[in-house]
Amino acid sequence: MISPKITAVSIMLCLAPLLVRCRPAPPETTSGASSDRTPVSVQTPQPPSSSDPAFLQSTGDGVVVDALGRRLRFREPPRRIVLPGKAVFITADAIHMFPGAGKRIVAAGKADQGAASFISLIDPDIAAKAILTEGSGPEQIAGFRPDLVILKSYLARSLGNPIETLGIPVLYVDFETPDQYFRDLQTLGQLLGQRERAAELIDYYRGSIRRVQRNLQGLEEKQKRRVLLLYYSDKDGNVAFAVPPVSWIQTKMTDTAGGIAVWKDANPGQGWATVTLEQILAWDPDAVFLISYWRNPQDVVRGLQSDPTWNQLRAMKTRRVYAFAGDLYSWDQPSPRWILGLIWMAKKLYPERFADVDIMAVAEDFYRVAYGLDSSFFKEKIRKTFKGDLP
Amino acid sequence: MMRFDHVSFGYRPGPPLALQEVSLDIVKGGITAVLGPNGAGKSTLLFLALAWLQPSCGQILLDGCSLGRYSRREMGRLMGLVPQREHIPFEYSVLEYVLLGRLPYLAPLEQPGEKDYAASLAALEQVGLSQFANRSVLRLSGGERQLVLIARSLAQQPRLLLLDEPTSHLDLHNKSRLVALLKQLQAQGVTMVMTTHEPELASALASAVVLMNEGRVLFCGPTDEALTTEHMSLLYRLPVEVVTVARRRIVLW
Amino acid sequence: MVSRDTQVVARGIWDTRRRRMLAVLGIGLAVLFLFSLLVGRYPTLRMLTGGQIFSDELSQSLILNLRLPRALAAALLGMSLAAAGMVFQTIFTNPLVEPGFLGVSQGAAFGAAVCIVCFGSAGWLVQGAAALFAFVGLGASYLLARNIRYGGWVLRLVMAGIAVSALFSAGLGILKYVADPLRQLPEITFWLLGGLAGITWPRALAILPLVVLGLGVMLAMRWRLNPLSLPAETAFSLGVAVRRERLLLLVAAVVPTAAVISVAGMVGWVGLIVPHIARRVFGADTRYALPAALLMGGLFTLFCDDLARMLLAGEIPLGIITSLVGAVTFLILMMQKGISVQRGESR
Repeated sequence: MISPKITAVSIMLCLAPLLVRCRPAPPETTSGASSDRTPVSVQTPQPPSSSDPAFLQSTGDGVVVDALGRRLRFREPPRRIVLPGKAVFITADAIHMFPGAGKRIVAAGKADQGAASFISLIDPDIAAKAILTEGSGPEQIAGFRPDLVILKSYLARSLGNPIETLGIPVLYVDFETPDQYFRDLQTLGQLLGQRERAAELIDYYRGSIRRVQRNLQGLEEKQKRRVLLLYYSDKDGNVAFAVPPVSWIQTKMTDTAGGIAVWKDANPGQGWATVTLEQILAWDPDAVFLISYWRNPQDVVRGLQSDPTWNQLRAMKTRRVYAFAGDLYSWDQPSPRWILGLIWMAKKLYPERFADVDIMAVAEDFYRVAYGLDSSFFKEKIRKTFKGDLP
Repeated sequence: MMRFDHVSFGYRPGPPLALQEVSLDIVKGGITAVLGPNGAGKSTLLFLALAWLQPSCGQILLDGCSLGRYSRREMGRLMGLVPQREHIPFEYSVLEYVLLGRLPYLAPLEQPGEKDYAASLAALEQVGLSQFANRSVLRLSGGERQLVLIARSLAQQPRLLLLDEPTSHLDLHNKSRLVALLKQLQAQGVTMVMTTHEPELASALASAVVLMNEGRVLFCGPTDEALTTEHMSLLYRLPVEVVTVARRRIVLW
Repeated sequence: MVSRDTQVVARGIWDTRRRRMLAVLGIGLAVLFLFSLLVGRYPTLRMLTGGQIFSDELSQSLILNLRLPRALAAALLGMSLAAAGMVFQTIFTNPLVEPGFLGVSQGAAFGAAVCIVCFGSAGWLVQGAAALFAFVGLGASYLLARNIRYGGWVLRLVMAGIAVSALFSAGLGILKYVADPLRQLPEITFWLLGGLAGITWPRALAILPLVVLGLGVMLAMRWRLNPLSLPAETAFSLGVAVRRERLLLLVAAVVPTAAVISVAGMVGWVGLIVPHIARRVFGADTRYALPAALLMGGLFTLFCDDLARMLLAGEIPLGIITSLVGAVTFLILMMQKGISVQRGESR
């Protein structure tokens, strides 16, 4: 009566190793021979602080302060960087803005958002690099023998700590707000030994923002347009519209573009918050920007135009529902293209003040400054991926 | 052996009290039956004797000392309780169940040893269930389960045994078996207090009877003096007749 | 009439057999522990050989700093949950309860989350808050069950527990929604589904004292747990300090449970299934069934955690695996003999 059960348990225990061994080897590959890791020491890692972002101070060569205020010291720029996590393109595209930095990345998570990934276009060695499956654990990451792992700071507890206990240094970035963007660009500049390049990029961004603000000079509060940013998702067949939190770059962009973000009270949380059509009608915005990552935003807008309830919206009647612009990635996200999103938004809101701004030219200029891509590359590879209300 | 001295008790403050001014004597070596209708306070009396309930007035003396003076372990060795019916949640074996009676003899962290198993087996033998030692308690009949409960109390090697309506669920066969067992225990010197609402059982077994109604003691004395027509009619508020058949009192209603 | 000697011998054989089975379980746990240290996905799914370990510093670091604390935490998690389940099932005479059904797990998770949001992640404080709210959950479930006027004791306790659990889960969701996800709380999926992915030595060591203490108390009182399943007055008549011992055992069960939940999230089914299996194999006597449940719980959770980190390239939340394995096992158990849930009287 008892022994069959014991036998069953024992059999299960014996079979387990066989089952484990019989699994086919996963598709990821380790690239190249393992190289010595660049010696690194991490000084006094501090507990995560929830208040002000860390200001970068370079107190000497090779000391980098990351988003969580931790100081890492490098003797030379890392040669094997791994980028796990989701929405990797945000970090990866930022790194690629530093010349030659792309070579240092040996593995990254999925970097595309529906279309091809940008780094696959500009990185000639992309085929040799490994793509991390989603949710990869510290063991697999360790398998690439990285000398640095760059993570978003919210992954500190679940992924960052275990990786560090293996002796692999971890650098945290945020890239969520414009201030964090500049700070993290500086961090990357420190890390890659290209501080001047970081300064150059930050100047470019700041300059673009100043130009927008200059064009908006004299705009009074009551003249400002009421703006609503809506994120469209139809996951699992449920159509939903959501607004971003106050802390995200989307809201900051709206402010800088001279708009009044009507949803500021509606989202106390830290992620997209769904809103009902009733609330949208109640807000009665002057302009609506529709963001869609997976489905073409213009298709979405067209769908709404034929919807009788949506046609009650004043913004719809005045033809001020815009499909958010983007190329490979929508320009609202904190990838390096957010500056394009900002300029595009400002022009849509106040076309009379930005009549002299040509979005196409700005975009082409951006890709030249950020990635050194020439005009022909832009026209062949990038231009055709444009989505949204762009000429 | 045990004396109730003007004991009163109420489950809730204020009238009606479950027990009112109860005074009685439990004679050592005898079987005392507490007889009364439902709700008379018989079980309450038993729980007070067990010290599970505390009297609001009066005191209870065991061998001359107040009940409160004894430690729980001492009381566990002196007194055993055989409840009316016990819900057994898990499939213990009969021996394991009886072994629980050895608790008062074990130190807080001590596990049962040879002596305890021997005592438990002896108790089982006494109630005649030795052959079921390794059987699951849940597979026993009602009567056999009652005997297991008694065996558990016997494993405590008590001097006083408190039984709560021990035969109320038993058929005739098991009832007589139980009566024989209790008589045997009496011969070994165990004092017993038994609540019941069956006068015939009191007649068959008890040396003294306490008649209780609505929390009060109506009469306390030898069986023959207790089981009379007047007492029974008063107790059950029903005209009855008590007849004697083969030296047993039968109540005809 | 079977002779006493035969009885003694028969009983002795059963006891020896049980002790031997316990030893087998212990060895099994040790073997699985070793296995967990050697097998993983570094860099591909395979077992590390001795030679590899000696030559590769990263492997050594992996085993010592990643796999060892994780395996230890998994074993402690399983042991705590299973032992706690056994204690709850015995004291509440209800074979359908486990820490997750009585508001204990959810209370612990909520307490840990509240502490992290308000006071930061100091290890001791978080565990203390988890334990406090775990008790609140248990107390609330019990009191609520006493006041429900529907169904028998078994049903009432489970219903009350579900209600209290739901309240705490909702509280947890609200906390997560409002609190800062970048700095303070791990994702809600961590709390609700459990996971040992982020276990490092500091965390594993932080829970060690409380868990060892709680398990130690439960093991020391393993035989005295039996009479606590009896009605209070009967246990009292046997010389048991009923309220005190019940409270002591409940504290000894809840504290390690809360501690492990504060680092591993809510992992369900272990506390329900393992005590059942332990009782079936070892008999109802908790003298053997409790240590058996402890060892089986460790085995079960360690096994599930190995699956969680090795089955797919990504990490599967532990609670999903335990639910899968646990629920399947539960179904099999139920279909075998019909689970003997005794029809309970009201207490």
